[in-house]
Amino acid sequence: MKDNKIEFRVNGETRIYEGDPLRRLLDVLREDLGLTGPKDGCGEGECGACSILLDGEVVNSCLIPVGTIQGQEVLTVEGLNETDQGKCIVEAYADAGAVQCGFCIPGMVMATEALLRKNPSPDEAAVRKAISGNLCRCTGYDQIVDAVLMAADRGKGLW
Amino acid sequence: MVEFYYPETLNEALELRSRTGALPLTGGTDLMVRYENWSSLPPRFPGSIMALKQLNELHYIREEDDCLCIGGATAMNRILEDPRIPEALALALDEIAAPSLRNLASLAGNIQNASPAADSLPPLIVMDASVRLVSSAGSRDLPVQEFITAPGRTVLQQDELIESVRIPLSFVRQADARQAEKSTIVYRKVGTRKANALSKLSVCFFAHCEDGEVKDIRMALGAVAATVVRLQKAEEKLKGISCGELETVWKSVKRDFEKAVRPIDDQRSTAFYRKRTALRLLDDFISRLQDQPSA
Repeated sequence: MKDNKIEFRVNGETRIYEGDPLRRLLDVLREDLGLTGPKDGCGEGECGACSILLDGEVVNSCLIPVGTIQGQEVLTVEGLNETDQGKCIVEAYADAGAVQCGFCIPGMVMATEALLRKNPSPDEAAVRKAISGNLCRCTGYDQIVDAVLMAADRGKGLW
Repeated sequence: MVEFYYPETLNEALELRSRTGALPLTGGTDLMVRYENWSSLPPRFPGSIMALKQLNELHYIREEDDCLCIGGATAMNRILEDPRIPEALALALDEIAAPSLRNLASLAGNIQNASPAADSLPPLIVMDASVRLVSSAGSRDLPVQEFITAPGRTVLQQDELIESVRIPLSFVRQADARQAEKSTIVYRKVGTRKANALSKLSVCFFAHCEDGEVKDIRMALGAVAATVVRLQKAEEKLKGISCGELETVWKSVKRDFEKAVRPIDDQRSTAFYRKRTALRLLDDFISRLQDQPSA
């Protein structure tokens, strides 16, 4: 970190941040960059609504001081949605009826992408484990699990 | 004024630590919650903060000095992915929070946070793991059990950092005897749901039986007292006896060790439930050893 400037990439674009390094990455994404995909649910790392990928790993953006991500790559649901993989996941969520109120979905989709990058053909247990940090109060999870398995099946070769 | 430091080398971090006493922050999964502010506002830290996650020198898993050493900033998921990690630790890490948390949280941070309910502590204490503390002045190794003195309290000095967590290779090899069905590992976390639950109770037990005799037995219980309890005196009494007598001997000495299990009532559970469950898990472990075909 030079001259209190924090440089990182968000959805492929380089960003230079000069404010308080202790602000939560979630707030910088939502308020400074207008990326409102990541949601502020619990603010304590329990609900997963703020999930993003940081250097390819799913993390809770509410727990990350922005000053600690110097040189790292952030992917939010907005960026993922521009990719073939993202489109495949989002369509599967729609087709499987996995979305009701929608608040948890950006986080769920990011957890799904992180899973499929590591394990392109997961079984149900692997899916449930991968989304275990994401709470959904509408669906009871079954349709979400269906959606992830559907995305894996349809997207063969994408990951 | 709360300063934020971003050292680029371990030496720089140690120099900053001794000069400013800044609070080390690795994954942030405990500190960001403890000092959480209103939604959309930065956390209210009580003093200056020093980020450690970027220090490459603290990201490693390697064997040295007869220990399996895990660098202080290594995230839990990186540790879980390593095939050299003993099963006792892997079972515990796998049940901590959820994947997204484990990508941030470090094992060293779980130790320094010193929660009586920290899930990594029972296996670390069963394995006789230690921490290496470093400062500009030098380094020292301390058993995890001595490092933690009370809830939220450790003996970490103002100028020190946890450089690594060290697991004796002698234990790793002994536990490998599992292949020959000579050793038994039990890890149980009792919580309200499978993921993202803070433990009501967590226990880790290990035993090595050979030629019908208990060669080694170790029992650690978390969230039943101010710090994780290891039943060392009970272990001494059970070591060396024949597996067939184990249950009888355990019954005769059990009462002496119940005292060590003195949990509290809190929002997650009651002292009554914790104590009863802890003792039943112990009974179950002993009877499992007794019933082993090799016994």
